[in-house]
Amino acid sequence: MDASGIDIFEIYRRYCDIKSGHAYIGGEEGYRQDSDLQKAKVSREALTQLSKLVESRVTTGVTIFDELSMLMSRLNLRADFSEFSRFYDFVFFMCRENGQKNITVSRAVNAWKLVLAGRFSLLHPWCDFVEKNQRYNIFEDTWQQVLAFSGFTHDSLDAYDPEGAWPVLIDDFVEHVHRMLGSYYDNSNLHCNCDDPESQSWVFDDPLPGLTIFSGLKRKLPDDSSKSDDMDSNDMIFSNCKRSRAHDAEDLEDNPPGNTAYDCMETSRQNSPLCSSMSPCAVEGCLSKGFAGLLNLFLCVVW
Amino acid sequence: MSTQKKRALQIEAFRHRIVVDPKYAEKTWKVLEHAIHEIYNHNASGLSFEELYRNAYNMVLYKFGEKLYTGLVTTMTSHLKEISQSIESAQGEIFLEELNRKWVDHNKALQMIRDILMYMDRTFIPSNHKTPVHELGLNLWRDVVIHSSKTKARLLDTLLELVLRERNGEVINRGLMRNIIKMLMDLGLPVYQQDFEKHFLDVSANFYCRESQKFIESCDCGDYLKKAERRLNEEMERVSHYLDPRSESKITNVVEKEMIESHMHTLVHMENSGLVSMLVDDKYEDLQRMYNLFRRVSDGLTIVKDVMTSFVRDTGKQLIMDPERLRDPVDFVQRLLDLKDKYDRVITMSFNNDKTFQNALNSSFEYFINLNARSPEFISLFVDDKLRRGLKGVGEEDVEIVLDKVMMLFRYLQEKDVFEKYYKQHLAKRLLSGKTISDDAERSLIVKLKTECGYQFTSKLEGMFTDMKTSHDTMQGFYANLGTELGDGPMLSVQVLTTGSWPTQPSPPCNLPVEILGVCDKFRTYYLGTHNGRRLSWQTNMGTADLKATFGKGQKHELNVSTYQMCVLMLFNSAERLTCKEIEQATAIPMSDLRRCLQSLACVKGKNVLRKEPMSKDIAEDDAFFFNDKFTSKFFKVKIGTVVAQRESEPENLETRQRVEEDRKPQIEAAIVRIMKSRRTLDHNNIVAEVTKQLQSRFLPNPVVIKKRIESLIEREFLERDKVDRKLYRYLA
Repeated sequence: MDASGIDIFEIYRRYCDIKSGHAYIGGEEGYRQDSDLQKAKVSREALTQLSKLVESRVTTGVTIFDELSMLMSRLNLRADFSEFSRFYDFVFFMCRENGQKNITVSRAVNAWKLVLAGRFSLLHPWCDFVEKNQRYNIFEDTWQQVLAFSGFTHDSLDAYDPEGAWPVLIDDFVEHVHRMLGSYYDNSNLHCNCDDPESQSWVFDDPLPGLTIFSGLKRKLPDDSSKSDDMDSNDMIFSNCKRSRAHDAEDLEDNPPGNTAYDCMETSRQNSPLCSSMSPCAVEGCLSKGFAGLLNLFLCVVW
Repeated sequence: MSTQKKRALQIEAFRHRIVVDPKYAEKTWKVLEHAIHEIYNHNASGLSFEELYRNAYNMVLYKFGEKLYTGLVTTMTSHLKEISQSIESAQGEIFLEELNRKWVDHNKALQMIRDILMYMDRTFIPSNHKTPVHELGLNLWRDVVIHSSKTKARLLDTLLELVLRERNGEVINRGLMRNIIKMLMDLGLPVYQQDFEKHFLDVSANFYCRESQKFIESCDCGDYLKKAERRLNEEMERVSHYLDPRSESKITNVVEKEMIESHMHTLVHMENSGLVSMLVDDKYEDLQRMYNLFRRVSDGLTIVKDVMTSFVRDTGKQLIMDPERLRDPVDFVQRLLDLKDKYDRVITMSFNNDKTFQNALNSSFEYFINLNARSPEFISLFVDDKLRRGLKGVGEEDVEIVLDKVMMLFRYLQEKDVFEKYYKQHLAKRLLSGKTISDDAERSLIVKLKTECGYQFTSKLEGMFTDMKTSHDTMQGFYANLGTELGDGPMLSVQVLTTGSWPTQPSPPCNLPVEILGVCDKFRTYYLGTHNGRRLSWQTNMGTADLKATFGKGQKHELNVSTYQMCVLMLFNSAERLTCKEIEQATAIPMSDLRRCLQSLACVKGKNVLRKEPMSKDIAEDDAFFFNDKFTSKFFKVKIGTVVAQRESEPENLETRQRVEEDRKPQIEAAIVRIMKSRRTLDHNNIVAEVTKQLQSRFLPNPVVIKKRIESLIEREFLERDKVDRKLYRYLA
């Protein structure tokens, strides 16, 4: 078969077959020798063959990321996490070059920006950090753990456990973020102004979305957009929120009706902490402002 | 007829007694009462025991026990009241003597009365639940005499006054005190406790509270403790002389509390005389006294131990961090050993070999020795100094003592692998230069290291000794085999070093003199002929040479030089003048090494077999060198440029550190693989814990480094993460 004729969709189909152990060649051998070890070996060899096939393709001016982007738009990744997880692993597979088992930092960063957009609240700080600090290629385990980490940051980095078997690179990143958040929080004290009616209004407005139905939240989006202008002074983290919300807006329009209840529940759960911090006194004003900042992170992960 | 008479007599007698019952009881009691009076009045000698006993017996028998008992109480009480008044009227110090005398009389009387009334004691009293006669007598004495309003307070005051006088150094009548105290005890333990002991303890507490305050303000720590000890001993002695033994722990508790516990912190921290001063000045006797006294109070020894620990840590830390000390590693380590000896002596001589103190000392040393990352190097340098010359001529037993002390310090190191690296370097130099005083001493230390850290730790060190032995045999074989062919050529002695066992750095081969090359080639041929597949490379940077030289006026000397220096000197057999550059080209010795060589040969007074132009310490490439015809020395053998182990410069130290870190990575990986191979599946935290446990006898692995090694093993597909639990790893065969 002509290698140049293989497109990204066919490659993905074969990759899924190999991963699920249904590859026709591997399958036959697997049936003869039942051991899991043997199956794993066959699977690995099949992937190696597929990798060679991919690298032998003739490029036609379309980048790997263009192809992956096309593939993403065809797959129903939002509804099925296990499908997304497999696709995520496939992305790493496609980014490998020259028979290497790891991928360059630049490829990893571009891939993350493409694939984890809207799913990883700290995506841009993470990519910046990796670009500046990582001197080695990204290998597969780290790649996979970033996906786990992106899910982990739904709640809070406070629960992050440095002894929790995360890769060293992620440990370093979390430490970096803590330092940044610390300095931001210190700065916010200097600018606290509880007498500002606009500020107070902003605080009071936030709990409302948590009390409305999902469709109500949609109607609030224009207000959020106008408020984001007031937040230009926010640092990188909060800029990231703005961009993420844009993605959310797009995705919401495509969301099947069946997921409405789930998303609504997510929204309610994540908004409830703020409702308990209503007092507008000076000290709690600071706390509320800081916490409200964190809340925006929560909102970003709703999809 | 006689039978009839007997019966009549018996009947008559019975009827007769019944008739006189009321009269009989009263009359009989009068007799007994009178007798009691006589007894108390010291006129008992005229009484008939048999008559009195029979009278009492009959009264009980004829159911007049109650009258007898009541009468006894009344009569005794009456007498004791008289006695009490007599005692109360005694003046001054006579009081106690009078009390004692009356008590003795009362006891005698009581003894007689009890004997007379013994039948009542045995029958009537138990049946009617009355108090036995003797006990009754004691109770009445207590209630009527001792507890009378005047006597009670006066007795206590008198007793306490006498105790106070004795405490102030007076001699008192201890026998009298003993008797009075015994009286109180005889009256019952509660009487002793309530009437005397309780008050005695309270008064004592006040006394010692005031005294300790006075002492603490006027004495230094050592004197105070002497006084406290003396007071304790005095109180124990007082108890043994005239108090009840059960009071000892109570009174010593009072002294301990008031004189020791209340002032523990003040004493320990006293300026110029407290615990720290005692430790500094080796006041073993004072320290022992402090230990013995503080042991008596709760937390006392804890305070002593904590202060000692804190002081040892500070002292050790100062020693460890003193820049001046760091210049001389041997002195540095010797001071550590002296410090340990000092405190071992304190613990042995003064602290009763207390295990908690030994542990505290050990943890202190471990704490401060590891504060200085250079400690492993310095300990190795100390060993080097001892094994080169320090222990020369010392008996085998003393050698063992020194080595054991070194092992003690070694045990405190947390980075034993750093020590191993330095030790290997220093050992290599000792072995190759033939400078070690004793192979036995060297091997003895290696056995100790193996015992401590396992075979793997010392296997390469043992390999070094094996190489030395093998080399010796090889050279013997070489000369036995080829001796005749070598003729008058130079003598060669080769050490064949196993790669990996020795801390060699690859050195570029220099150009050996032609005279040497011949015999070297012969050795190579011989060696490779008997060891198939081997590969030899010469380490010319580690050798030595002995040269015979003749100077200008015909004086001859034997020069002991390094191999490099030999290569340089041999050039002057055929050249008058050579520049540094020319020498480098001729010998191919690296410039940095060459400069050091030339400095030793030309710039050291008394050893300058070469002359240099211009005359300066520094060596430039175009400096010129000449054979020094004017060289003179009073020694026939001249030793030039001896290689001695020295402390590393900072960059060298850093480099060694980095090599240690690099060496740790494969060890950590090997540990991970061993663990996972046996467990197949294990979670992250347990891997970290197990790896740390396996390696801590050599060094404490950094958890971040362990994590990186795990990542590397995952990348190389030795391990994988569990699909479900990301913290769980699986071993891949």
